[in-house]
Amino acid sequence: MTLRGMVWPTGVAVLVGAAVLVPWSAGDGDPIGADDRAREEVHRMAPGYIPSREPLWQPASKRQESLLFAGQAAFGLLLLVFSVHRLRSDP
Amino acid sequence: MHIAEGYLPWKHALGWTGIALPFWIHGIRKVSRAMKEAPRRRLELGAAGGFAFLLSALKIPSLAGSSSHPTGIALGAVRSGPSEMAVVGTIVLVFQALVLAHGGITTLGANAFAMAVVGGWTAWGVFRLGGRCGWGEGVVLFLAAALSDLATYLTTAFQLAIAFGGDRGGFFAAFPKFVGIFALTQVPLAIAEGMLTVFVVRLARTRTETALETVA
Repeated sequence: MTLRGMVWPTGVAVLVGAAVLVPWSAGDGDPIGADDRAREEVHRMAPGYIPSREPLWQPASKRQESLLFAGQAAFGLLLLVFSVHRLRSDP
Repeated sequence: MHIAEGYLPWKHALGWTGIALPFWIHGIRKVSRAMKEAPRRRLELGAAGGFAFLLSALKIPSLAGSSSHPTGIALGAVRSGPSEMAVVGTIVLVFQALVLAHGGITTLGANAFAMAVVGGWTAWGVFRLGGRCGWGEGVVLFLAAALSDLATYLTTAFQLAIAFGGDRGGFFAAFPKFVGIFALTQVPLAIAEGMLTVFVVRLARTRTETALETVA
């Protein structure tokens, strides 16, 4: 793989990221997850619907949730970097 | 774009689990075979799993105050195979359901079908088709990942619409509503995932492969 081949995907990824993150970080309030919006829509469509069950366990707070998401990302990144490194050093 | 725990009636939850089941069984067979084969196959699966874990943890703000995350399924579907990716994607979903209360165990079948099965096979199909048409590798990979993302959210919208459209206006009124909710966040994310997939595939290229390309 050549470094030159990386230029356009990197460039566009940075541009797309900036186009999304800059306006968002300037505003107040957290964005609402699309899954939660879908859940609200379910209640609008079927007002009598009672969820058939609750999650067994839920993060206790927003902070805990963020931490767990970060942990998941870190685990994924480690596994990815390890595997890619080994693949690249494979003769 | 996962359906939350309990947000499918029992019949639907069971039905989607039944539909996902053969894909799981076939996938587990393929994965265990891959683990016994060359170490390269194992490493490729490791990279695919890592990528899926990483991407589905990235809650990214998108248009109109919404947020969602990419799926990361396409990379593995293209490199390791869609059957294998059905299993890897499901592992990610189980983790998110149990640890993060994101998605759910009752909705695991539906979510796995949307993300790991439809998402994986779409990526694989687009990749094959694009390759046959002779498009550039970057373009094909980008399309495979972006369309896999879009196919996943369309499937989720379909699942919700057939479950909840009955009362008011039916499926055809409900489907566009759910599509609208997911489209808002998922279209920009699909584009971002397409870019990232191209990036990682190029990064993971081994010296041998690069050398072969230089010769060819």
